[in-house]
Amino acid sequence: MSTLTAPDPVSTAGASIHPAIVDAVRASLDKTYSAFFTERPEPIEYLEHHEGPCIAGIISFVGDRSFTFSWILKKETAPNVAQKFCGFEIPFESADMGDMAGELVNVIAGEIIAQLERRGMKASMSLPTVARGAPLELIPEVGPSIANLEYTSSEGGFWLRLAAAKTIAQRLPGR
Amino acid sequence: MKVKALVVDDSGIMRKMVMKTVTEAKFCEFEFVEAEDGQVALDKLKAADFDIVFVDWNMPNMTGVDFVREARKHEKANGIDAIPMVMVTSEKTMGKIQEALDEAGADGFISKPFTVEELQVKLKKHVEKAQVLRVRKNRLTAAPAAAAPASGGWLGKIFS
Repeated sequence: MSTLTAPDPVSTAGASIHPAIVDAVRASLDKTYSAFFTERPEPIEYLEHHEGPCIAGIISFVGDRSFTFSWILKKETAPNVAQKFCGFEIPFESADMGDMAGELVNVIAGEIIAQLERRGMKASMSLPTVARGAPLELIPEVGPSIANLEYTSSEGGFWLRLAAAKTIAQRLPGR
Repeated sequence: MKVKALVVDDSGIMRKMVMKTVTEAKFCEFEFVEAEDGQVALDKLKAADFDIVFVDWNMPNMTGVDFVREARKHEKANGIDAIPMVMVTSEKTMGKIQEALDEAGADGFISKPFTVEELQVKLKKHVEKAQVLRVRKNRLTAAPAAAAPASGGWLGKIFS
């Protein structure tokens, strides 16, 4: 369960995520999603409470600004997304669904790097990882900066979560 | 005639997607062999006779770029024809992609997500090259048999 308050579609806690990153992520989602789902997902206000099982593809970016990006799919959304993305049916509980979530976030991550570059920011990405949960709460609510971007689409609901990492200087022991 | 393709990706679902989409592009008939990382792929490549490789860029242990570089070294050291190697990537930065292709010796790339129509355009020349290589290999395999004397002739009797 998320305890973040959400005054608008981009919910933040602590210091905000750099606006260029949010902008790049939104643009990347629009471009990538419409490439294989034919229509753009619609941004909606972030819901504080998400019920039920979810699966997330997670990837980290290191560069001018370091952050973690998660694409979190609800149980009822994930099989619809998988069907369109892969072209075949994948049950939510299967290992293939984990592969799909990892691949999905990997594909959008490539676009995010290109979009960041257009905005004058350099970054490289990690390999994707996958997490499951019911409900899914990956990032602590305090500490790093967080932005939640919730969407609805014909495949169902999902949300993106950005968590900014501290700078290397801030991570040094004793600081 | 079947073209033998090696599909390298740490994601099982991505390997399935590549095989499905390449098949749907209807270039020719393929025989696919899968490898889950670069090192496994390299071992398979050294052990068998492939006509084309589809290799993921971003993999643990050995990246796709490292795999292509090693595979090219193996071809060169053993006097083997260079087979088409196509990178499958979610990278979108063209400069970075081209630099890696040139440096490693890959022939081309396809960007994820891809459609059947895109593959039909992007893979055409690579699959055609793979087909030519397969025909040449089949001829070389068939040549000794063709050169062998017919069993019913006088030479056949001598050989038997």
